[in-house]
Amino acid sequence: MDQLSKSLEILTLKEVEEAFKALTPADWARLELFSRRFAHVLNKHPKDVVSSAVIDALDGTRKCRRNLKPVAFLFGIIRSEASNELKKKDPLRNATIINIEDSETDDYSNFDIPAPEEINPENQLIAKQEIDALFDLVSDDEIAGLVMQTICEGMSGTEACKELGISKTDYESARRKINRRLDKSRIQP
Amino acid sequence: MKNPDNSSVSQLLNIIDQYSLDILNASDAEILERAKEAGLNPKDLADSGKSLLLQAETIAKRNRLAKAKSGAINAKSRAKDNDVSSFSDAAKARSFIEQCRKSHPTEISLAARNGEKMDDADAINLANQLSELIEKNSE
Repeated sequence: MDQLSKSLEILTLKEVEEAFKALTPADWARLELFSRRFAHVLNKHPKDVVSSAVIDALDGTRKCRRNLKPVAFLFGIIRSEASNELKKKDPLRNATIINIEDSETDDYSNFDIPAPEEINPENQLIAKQEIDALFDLVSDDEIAGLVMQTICEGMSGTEACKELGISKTDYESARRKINRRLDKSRIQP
Repeated sequence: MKNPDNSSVSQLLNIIDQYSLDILNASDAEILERAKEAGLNPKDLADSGKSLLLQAETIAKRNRLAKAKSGAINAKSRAKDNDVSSFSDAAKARSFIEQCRKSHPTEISLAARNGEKMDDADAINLANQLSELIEKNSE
């Protein structure tokens, strides 16, 4: 693909600005609901979560593909920021520690080799707390809890119905309940 | 952690990804209804969204200018590394203009976008002007 075609696939900053100006009240509601989910993780107020994403889009840090809805573009920026934050490696666990006593003997066997992609335990804990809080939202409904478990594990709807032995209607009903409860919940940063 | 894919982080992202698709695919009417049920006022959200946008535009503009300045200084530094203290060579002048234009197209392209069509003297003149501007701004 040549440079011109590539640039045509990306919105210009002016076009991004225009697209944001055209956001509807429903779009702002979507952004508020979505940003609440990551406010705790990012340790920011939901409005600041949205604001950071909008700034990244308007200053050109993030590029928007032409076929992407502006709200989906902002969701992607927020999700990416939160994912990066959550997957930050533990600087201590990933450091290579050299045993000074052995360093002069060229014996590298006592070097602490970092485990690849080790996630900071503190972030694991934050995520765990968040998940526990989400499960608490549906603690009164066994099916909804089980469906949430399948979502956590990344199962598709079809796989979940088969695994749990429930109908597609029951699955969708539980999923709807989960999402309505998520709408109303908010973990303070 | 032996399998990061099964970590709490991945599980949380799976739940939120499902939720985000649900919000994106819901109709505007349904989302407005859900927002109201969640105790939100859609009109207030839209108003505060517009105000957020105005503030973000100001900050983004400042960020763009800072990036442009930083990019231009880098371009100048690279030019110096290539022993270009002042531009007397048209090819080097055009290369410097191009580096400035690439470092921040929005701010610098107005002056430099026709660099390819300039004659040698104009290209040298523009490169020297840009260079002086960068020096003044970095003082």
